[in-house]
Amino acid sequence: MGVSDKNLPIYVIFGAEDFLRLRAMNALISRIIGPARDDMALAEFDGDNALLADVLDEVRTPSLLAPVRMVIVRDADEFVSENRDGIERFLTKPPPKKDAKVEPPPPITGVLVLVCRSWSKSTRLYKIVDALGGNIPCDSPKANEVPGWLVAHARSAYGCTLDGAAARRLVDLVGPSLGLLDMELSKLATYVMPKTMIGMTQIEELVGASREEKVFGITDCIARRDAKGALAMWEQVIATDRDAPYRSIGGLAYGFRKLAEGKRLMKQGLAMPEVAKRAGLWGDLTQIKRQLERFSLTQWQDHLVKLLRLDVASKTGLGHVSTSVERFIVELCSAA
Amino acid sequence: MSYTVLARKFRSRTFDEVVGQTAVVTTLRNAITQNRIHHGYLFTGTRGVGKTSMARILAKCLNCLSTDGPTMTPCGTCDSCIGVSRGEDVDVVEIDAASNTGVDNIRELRSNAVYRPARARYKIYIIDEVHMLSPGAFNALLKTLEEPPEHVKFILATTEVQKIPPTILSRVQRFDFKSISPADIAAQLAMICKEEKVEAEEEALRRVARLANGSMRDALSLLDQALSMGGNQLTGDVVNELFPTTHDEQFAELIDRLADSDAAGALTLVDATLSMGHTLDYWCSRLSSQLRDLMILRVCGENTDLVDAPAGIRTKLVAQAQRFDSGAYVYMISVIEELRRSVRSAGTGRALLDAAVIRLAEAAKFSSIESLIAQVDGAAAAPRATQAPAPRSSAPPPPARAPETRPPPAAPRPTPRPQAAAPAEAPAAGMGRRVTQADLKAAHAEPVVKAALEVFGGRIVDVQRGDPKQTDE
Repeated sequence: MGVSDKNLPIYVIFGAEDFLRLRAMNALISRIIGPARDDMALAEFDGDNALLADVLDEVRTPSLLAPVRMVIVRDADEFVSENRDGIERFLTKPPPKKDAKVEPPPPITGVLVLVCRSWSKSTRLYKIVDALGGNIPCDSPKANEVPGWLVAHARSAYGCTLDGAAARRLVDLVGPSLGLLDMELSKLATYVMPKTMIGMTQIEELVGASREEKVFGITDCIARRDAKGALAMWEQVIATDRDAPYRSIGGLAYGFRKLAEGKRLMKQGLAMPEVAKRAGLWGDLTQIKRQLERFSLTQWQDHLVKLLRLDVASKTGLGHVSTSVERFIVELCSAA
Repeated sequence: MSYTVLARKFRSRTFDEVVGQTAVVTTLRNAITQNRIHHGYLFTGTRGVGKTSMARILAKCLNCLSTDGPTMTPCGTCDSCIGVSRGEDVDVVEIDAASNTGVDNIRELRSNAVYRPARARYKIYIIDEVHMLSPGAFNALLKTLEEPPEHVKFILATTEVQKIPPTILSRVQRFDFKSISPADIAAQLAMICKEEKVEAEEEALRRVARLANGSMRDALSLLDQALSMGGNQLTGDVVNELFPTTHDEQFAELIDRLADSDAAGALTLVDATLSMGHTLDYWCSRLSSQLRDLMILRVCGENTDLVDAPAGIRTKLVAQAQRFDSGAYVYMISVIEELRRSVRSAGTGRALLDAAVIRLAEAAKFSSIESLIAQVDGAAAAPRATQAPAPRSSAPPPPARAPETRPPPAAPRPTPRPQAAAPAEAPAAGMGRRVTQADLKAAHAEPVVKAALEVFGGRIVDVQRGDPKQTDE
């Protein structure tokens, strides 16, 4: 790939989502120096300890064997803060007069890429880069947009079909981190091959085995009064590792807090979709409603108090945590 | 020739031999056949479920020299396969992160990773117990994991995935290895016994499988121990002798006394058990553990794997579990836990213990609020005789749930009524008695009761009939 007129002297990839930043960076590398990723045309710096002089030297030095050199500064937040003036000077040489038009310094044989988490819009540097057209924002989708993003990403990146419910389930299990979701998608896409449909079954088989998931499963079982199921899951949790029981009490409390909040909202007369959304309860609304109706608000709060006592007892050596949780499960499941 | 332990001798060598990890095997096979091999894998799960074995199998599949490319069926005979099996292949580097935790170790790895493999297709790094790496080491690994050279593959293994930084997790494909079911372990043990020409009783194998707690390596170690004791025969007796159950006949007898409301008999047994030299704390722990087994059997049924007990004892436990219902077990375990806390700090531990035993013996005469409400609502299909009250709590008593939200009873509850406590002709207080709507209405109509309820803001949970002198309350 030759030097393109479209290449700019600087690109700033910014945003909180690691995965999107990485994807944008790879796309840029592929566009500017080609998919073969010629190391002769690529120089990388770590923003924590890079010196501006070194970085600019690399940018200004034409590549011996490649038509354009790309210089990437990763984790560049600190680098930018410390060298803001220097970068501005590099981009606006000679220093612009008041009404001077900002133009890229020709010819471009070196492209500087800054990759950072935050990139304040109110700074002069932002405006200079923006005027050049080099800002590449990588904003995370909002929480309720993540399943939609996942469906689209499954199709574009892996050629797989993922329905909405399965996408929501995956987000529920893995969390909103796009990087983790991408990894799970890649795994699921390989798992279902040669088919391309990823459904709830495959997600449960391959993703739903984590301890965290089991802890939430226990909460669900308790809400369904399924003591047998809850005890079986608890057994798997404590088989995971030695400290699991202590941490799992926190997980149980987290689940119960969400259900208690759901119950409180339900009592206020909110519709079930709104209750589920605000309380962060995912899944079938009828089932959630049934779970919430299982106990009164006072009972849900009482369960939290019991868990707190259990936690204190376990951490002060005053109770056998595993047996205590089993007792707690049976008590709640047999409660009228 | 020196003896090779079963866990090593029967370590899985191909995907077909891996037990209980079907989804993981399918995905890795597809990755190989479809040429979608990721540059980094993370295998996580409890000990002995096949993480390291799977890492070695994958390494063999990728580097087997008998084929032109990665294969699902490594030959097992080429230099690479043999080297990997022994853990000494030049291109498959196994690193124990527990003893190489520092950033320098990872820097060394990074500097070596750029060199191409000596003879195979890939340079594969298997980092075991990766959660032990220091934060600096993780950071050093990050860049390499993000964009490793094409000839490098990473396989990380850990039992504690929660200690792995999210930045690492988002750069590797994570596979959660499930605990292996007792049925799968027992089947594998049976196969191994057959190969080893050992006569094994099915029940003995099942017990070993249950004791292994989902870990195949533990199961094979236990089998090794049992075989070294029993020779070429694996019987239930050998297993029971080697791995005695926590079940104790004297404690079982004590629980029977409690069910019979026989406080005197229970106290005698307490004395007998303590005279064996148990500390009060240990005594509480044993009784709590035995009650726990009964509670689990009561809730999950006799075939549950959550209770470790050989067949003979299990039958007894199942029968005994029916003497109380789940609420009663919850209450009794709570009392014992409370007692355990108290005896640690009290100077009169024995007195507290005796008092608790009497309390438990008396408890069989009470009914829980839940059972009473259920009975009043007519939801209980069968009498629930030995319900105990919920543990004392400062929290308000739970209100009754709306009838439409209560699921029907799963199965008719047996009547665990102690024979001695409640004569059939006079089911007065406690066990075997059912409080009817009429009883409650009649009690409400009593002026004294009405006044008491108003003063204390209470409600009626039990009604006792007959001559008060004949009752314990």
